Amino acid sequence: MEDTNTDTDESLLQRVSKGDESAFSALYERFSGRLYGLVKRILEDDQDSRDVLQEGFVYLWEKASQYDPSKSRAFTWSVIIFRNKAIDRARSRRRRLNLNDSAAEELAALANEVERADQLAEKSERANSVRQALATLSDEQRKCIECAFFRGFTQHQVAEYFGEPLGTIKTNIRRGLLRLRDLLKGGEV
Amino acid sequence: MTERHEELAALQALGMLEPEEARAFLGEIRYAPETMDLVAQLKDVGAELGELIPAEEPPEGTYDQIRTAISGKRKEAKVVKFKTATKTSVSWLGWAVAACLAVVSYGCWMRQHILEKKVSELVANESGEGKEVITLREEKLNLQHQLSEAGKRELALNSEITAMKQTNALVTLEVSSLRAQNNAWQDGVAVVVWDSAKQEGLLKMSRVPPVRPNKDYQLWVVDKDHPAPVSAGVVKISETGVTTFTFKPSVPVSSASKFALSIENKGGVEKNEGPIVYLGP
Repeated sequence: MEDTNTDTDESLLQRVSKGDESAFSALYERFSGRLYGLVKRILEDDQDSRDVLQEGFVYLWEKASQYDPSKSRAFTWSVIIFRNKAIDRARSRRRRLNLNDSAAEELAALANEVERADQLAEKSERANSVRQALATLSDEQRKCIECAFFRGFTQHQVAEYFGEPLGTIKTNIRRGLLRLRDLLKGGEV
Repeated sequence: MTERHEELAALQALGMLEPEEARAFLGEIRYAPETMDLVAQLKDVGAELGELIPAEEPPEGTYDQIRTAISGKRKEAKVVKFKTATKTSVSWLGWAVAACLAVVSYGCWMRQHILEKKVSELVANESGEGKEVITLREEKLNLQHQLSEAGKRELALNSEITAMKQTNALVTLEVSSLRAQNNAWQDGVAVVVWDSAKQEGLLKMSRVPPVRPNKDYQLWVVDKDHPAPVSAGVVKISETGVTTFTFKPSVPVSSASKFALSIENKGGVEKNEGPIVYLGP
């Protein structure tokens, strides 16, 4: 068994793609807490979150060979997988409920999202960079992006919730994300 | 790149487009690598928000469940390999039996040859007793009969092997297990067998819950040549609990990459609107 303590997330994920179980175990140790926190934030249900965490790691084990370290970090690649799975489940659940009735209730928790994150999130360097980049966005841009990311709302649902024209939501999302890209990828934060 | 494309790329990156909008956009940018690259970049940027989430300890035993699930998948993979091997082994079994028969036939022929020689020698020497000659002649006839029977069986087996090989070459069946998309359907089982050559398939379901009276299950085939899933018909749940549904997509499909079962308005719809409850492979 190889030592996994000194491996980067990226090299661990690449080892997982070759069926290395010790690398998978190490990656679970590193990612599971944050990914569980993410899916739980999206689903707000312990059982669903546990199911999605399980599905996500099984998927990660099977699809690790598709990961390209030159394109993204291992953690963000994993976030995309787990978020998609959580959103799929949340949307499927929402289809059975009346969206309009539940939307306001679900979104009420969002108001303090960044504040809660500030208090609780690990004070990692990357998390600080993301937080700083988000802080440079306008409130409207930040809220729209957070709403979409953490709740998986479509553009129409976000517009309905904020009571804003669809065009305004689209503009906020576009400008906000492009700004984040420039700051995070350009390393100017 | 237009502002509209930037906008759609940002919405697509966060999964904010409705399925139809997303399909149309992705179709539009199929030959625009720059826009596709932007979508990937922005998706990655959006995922950076995952850094802000405070970690939470997953419930105890989750890792063990994941390991069990992975082991289960490995076993499934092994079973699939074994099934393939079984198919092959049937052919090999045929060949092996044929080979054994050939050996037996050759053995019979050799014994017959030796006996013939011995009979000839006895007759020629006139020293053998008549009884022994008769016994040897009877044994020779018996062996000739055995040889003839073995030859017939070998011929029949060879024909069977040829037929099996032709069948194997023509097999285009794909078996897909559909996965429940949410908890309410977890207890059900849905399997599709698809024959791409014949463009028809069979859906077998058990323990799938019934839908409301104004709804129906509808089966869909996802094909890369069609922007929207192709309807494969409305599926009525059998009261016995096990439903068998043979289907033929409404239009020809070139490559059925996925099958989906959704809940639609009674009688079915032209385009998928309702929630998908099973999807696979």
